[in-house]
Amino acid sequence: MSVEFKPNIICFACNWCSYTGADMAGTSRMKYPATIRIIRVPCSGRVNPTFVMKAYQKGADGVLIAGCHPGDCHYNSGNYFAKRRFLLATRFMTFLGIDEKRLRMEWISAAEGVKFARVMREFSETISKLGPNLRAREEA
Amino acid sequence: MKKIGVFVCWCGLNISSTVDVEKASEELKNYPGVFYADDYKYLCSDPGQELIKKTIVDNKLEGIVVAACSPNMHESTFRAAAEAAGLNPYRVEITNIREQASWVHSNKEDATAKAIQLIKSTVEKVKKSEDLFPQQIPLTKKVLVIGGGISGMTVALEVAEAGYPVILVEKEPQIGGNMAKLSETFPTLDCASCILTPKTAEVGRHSNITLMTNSEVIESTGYFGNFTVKVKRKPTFVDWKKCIGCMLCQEKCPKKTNSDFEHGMGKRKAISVAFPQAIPYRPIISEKECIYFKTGKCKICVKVCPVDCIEFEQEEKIIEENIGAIVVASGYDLLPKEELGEYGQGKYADVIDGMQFERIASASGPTEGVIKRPSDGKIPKSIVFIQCAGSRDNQKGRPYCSKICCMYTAKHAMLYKHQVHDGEATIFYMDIRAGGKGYEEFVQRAIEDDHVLYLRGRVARVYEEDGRLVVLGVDTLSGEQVRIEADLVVLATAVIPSIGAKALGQTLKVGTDTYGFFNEAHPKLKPVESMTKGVFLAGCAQAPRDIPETVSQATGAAAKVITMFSKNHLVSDPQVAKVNEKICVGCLLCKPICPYKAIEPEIVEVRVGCRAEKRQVATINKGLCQGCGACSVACRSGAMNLSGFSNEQILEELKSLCL
Amino acid sequence: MMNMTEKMLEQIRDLFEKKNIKLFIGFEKGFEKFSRIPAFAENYDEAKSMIIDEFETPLLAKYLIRELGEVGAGAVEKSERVGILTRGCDYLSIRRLVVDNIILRENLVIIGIPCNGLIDPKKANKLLGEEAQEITVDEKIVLAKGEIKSREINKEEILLDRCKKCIMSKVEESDILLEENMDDMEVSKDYSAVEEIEKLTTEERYEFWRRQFDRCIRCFACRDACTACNCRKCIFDITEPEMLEKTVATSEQFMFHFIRAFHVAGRCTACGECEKVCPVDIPLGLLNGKFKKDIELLFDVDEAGIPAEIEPLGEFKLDDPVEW
Repeated sequence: MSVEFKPNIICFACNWCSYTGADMAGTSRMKYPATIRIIRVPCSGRVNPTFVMKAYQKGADGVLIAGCHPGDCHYNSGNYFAKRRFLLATRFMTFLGIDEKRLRMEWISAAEGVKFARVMREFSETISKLGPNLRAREEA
Repeated sequence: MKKIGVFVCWCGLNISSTVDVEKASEELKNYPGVFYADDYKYLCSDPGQELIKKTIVDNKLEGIVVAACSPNMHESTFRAAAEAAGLNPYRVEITNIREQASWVHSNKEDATAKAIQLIKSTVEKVKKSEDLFPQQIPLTKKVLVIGGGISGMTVALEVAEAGYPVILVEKEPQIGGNMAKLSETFPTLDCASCILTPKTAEVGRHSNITLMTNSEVIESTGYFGNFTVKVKRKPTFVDWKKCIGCMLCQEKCPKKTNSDFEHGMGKRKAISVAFPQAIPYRPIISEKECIYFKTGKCKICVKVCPVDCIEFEQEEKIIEENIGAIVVASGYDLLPKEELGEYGQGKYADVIDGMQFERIASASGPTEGVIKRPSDGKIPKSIVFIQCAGSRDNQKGRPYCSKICCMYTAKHAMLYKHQVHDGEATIFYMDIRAGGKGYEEFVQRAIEDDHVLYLRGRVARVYEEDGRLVVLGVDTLSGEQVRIEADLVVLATAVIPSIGAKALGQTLKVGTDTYGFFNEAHPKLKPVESMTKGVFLAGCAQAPRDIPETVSQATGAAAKVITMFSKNHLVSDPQVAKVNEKICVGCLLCKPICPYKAIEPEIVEVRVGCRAEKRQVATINKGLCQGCGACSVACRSGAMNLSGFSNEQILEELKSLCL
Repeated sequence: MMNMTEKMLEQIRDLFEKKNIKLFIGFEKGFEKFSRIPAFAENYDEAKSMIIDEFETPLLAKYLIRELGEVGAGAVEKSERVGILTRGCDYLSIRRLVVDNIILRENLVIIGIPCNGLIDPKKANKLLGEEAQEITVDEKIVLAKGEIKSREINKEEILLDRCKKCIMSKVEESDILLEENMDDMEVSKDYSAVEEIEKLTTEERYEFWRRQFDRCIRCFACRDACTACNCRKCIFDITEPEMLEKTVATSEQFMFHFIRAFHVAGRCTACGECEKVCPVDIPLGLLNGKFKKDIELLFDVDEAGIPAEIEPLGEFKLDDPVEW
């Protein structure tokens, strides 16, 4: 008997752009799967790659980091630092054997409710196909 | 374990139709740490807020979670309610179960499960919350305006009118800036000095404005609300307080030299005032040209001065001022012709730039408004205007549009045609950018009424042949090569940041872009703020712009300053970075990451075993920090943290959400 | 002609007499044959046992943290300085500490020596087939004599692993240079080991690392030997927030090795001490090398092992690659 796999996806959303974009998706009643849980952060630059490893460890099947488009950062440079950090961290996690498709970074502005909902649907779909993440994950 | 209260909002049917709010509050009642949980129709309503306040007081709650709409909607509402009930507002967190659950999911079971999980994770965050207190920062209600052009003057006058003292620093001996050099202004063709002189005069006499011309800002320390700046007042060699402005000295001075103000189009004396309406109307001796300074003899000015105000021994003075805000209005310069090889590299006298044309077209200029060419003073019969000379040219390192050239070139051609009716005015352009009220009509007037010839295309070369200037270009619309013999060529050279802007940026710790224009804090939402809190931008210091736009931006910057000064002290958001000094090793890896330069090293004394040791740690200037948290990621040991979004809080939220 | 050890001793005497140093850190013979261990001298007499030769030595820079005061107290000017014997690799580590504000350059006296690679005696023993009793080096040829056999070995063959990947054979900012630097050692960027792992499938990579990490006994020797690991209090020792839990489980091992490598990403000087001290031979160099390789590739850095004033993760370029 197989139980339908419901992925557990963590999304770090920058308060100024992507979080507001998520609000926009909500206000416009756009639908996306209930697999995504958002953690509000002031800036994508606040997201420590260690948080992502921690998420995998604690049972996340996918992690999404959503920040402002380049040039739009509320703090001017946070998203550029985030980009550098995750360019490296993603490659490193892949090197350790964690599927690179499980970590995604997206630039979503406050006006892009449609994009937010689309990315959530796409990512949820990707992770559903990949199945549960068992690597670097805490044994139950 | 803290006593936490959970309030789940129905938001009428908005939440309750897809999220089983009663089930949620019921389940949360049994969650560790939750002392109270309930649901309510509209928590943001007055009775809803009253319920929250009463519950906090009655149950002595130490933290609350409000599961409702987006924190962007009502976080401040609920935090204020909690504060009214005696709970620190930063112990209130919002779970967004409307925009992130009820509105985006249709399956009630899924939405409810997700909502419950979100609430639980917020409870975990609140368990790690701390009391935070806004810091009060004292404020000096005095503004420093750097640059005495139209933008700086506008800022100075607005702020001064609001009742606050202003220090206006200008590097030239007089105010007025570039606008004082202009002939007439587009699109109305009213004369620049007619509209500027009342402004300069008002700046000169305003009781709230301290004018420091012939001066430069050389140092700035402190932070917003509390800057200390040093201003270097260069010597004028004339005691301006004694001087009565009779200008006998200028009249009698035997030494003539090229005038900077006239951009090489006219002469001045070694002791001179730049132009007749200059404010302050006081002369200055140019050390470089003065005969006395060169030879130790002459002193004619001393002899003729009726009030004995010449002071050859005057030295520069450094003045220190405490101020609360700075407005940078350092204006622009034009790209030197020497950098434009294809247009003669500045070696032809009759190839001039836009500002030089302004001077020969100005009624108060060296030719008294008669457009004569510099080489022989003849009235040109044919003028070629070349737009985008350096602008929109990647090879010249100026890929940007200088914005004002299309309009002033049309104006130049028009002014010329009004004087020389049978003259030929040809303009080479790439595009005509006439976006502005009455601008397009103005350009059309030049084409249709004044018969200015517009040729779309670039000029490949300007050279001299048999004593005449030849302009070789292409008309891209007809595809034909064009060769024009011209008496005068006017280059609309690129607008560049004023010389010294980059150094000024470093002095003020305000960033500049690749070209040297000052960076705004946000390209859309904070166009007049710089990245450094308390430093504002106005006019061409930030990017090329015309007079109306400059005045609007300057007024905006003034409004920002006035808003800042309307309070008795500044309050900083406590959700900023904090350093755990016990852990911090002082490596300062965090320092280069801070966009606000809020991180500095500090030497602290700590006890190590039985002796005191000095040690370096990072400190946060809470006035400058804006709470982005990028530094906290650079910190390996976690000594750098962000209040309100701390490592502990995020990790607990994360763990709870991963379950 | 004086040999290098004599020259060094002369300089050390001078330092103690005239330059107000409180300590000199160098090497002396260890208990085992050919082993060289750190030596600390508080006066010239104590320094007399110090030697310079071509056998494997540990890096000394890390001791500076301790010797210049409690961690984090080194960035304050001291009345007495510390002298240290320095090769190119030590120099990179010292520079790491200086750039990280852990120590002040002014508090140091650096005696620089040239280096064209150290010898790993274990490798010599292996090639010889018995324990060498005498090893003599003549340029590129090494003569190893055992009780039974004796053999001429090409120096390349028994070079220390770290020296094979040397990125800095010179000491650029020495106060005293004992001998002029000889020709630069050949610097070859060799990421073939990293590339081997990259070629595996994700599944295979995970299995590879799981096997490696499961050996880890969490002794933290890799951290303790590393000069880039110079925190006052390590994140692994902090319980609030608990980034690393105390259970020994595969996921915690991944967590540990991820955090360790990430914290030295862009800061690792590729000295290889972490790998060398690991009691269970986890190939930590691969982890550090992966970051180093990517940094050089992605951020257009020539040599990420040389500490820059601002580390690669402390800055950004507007035209950094976009992958999302």
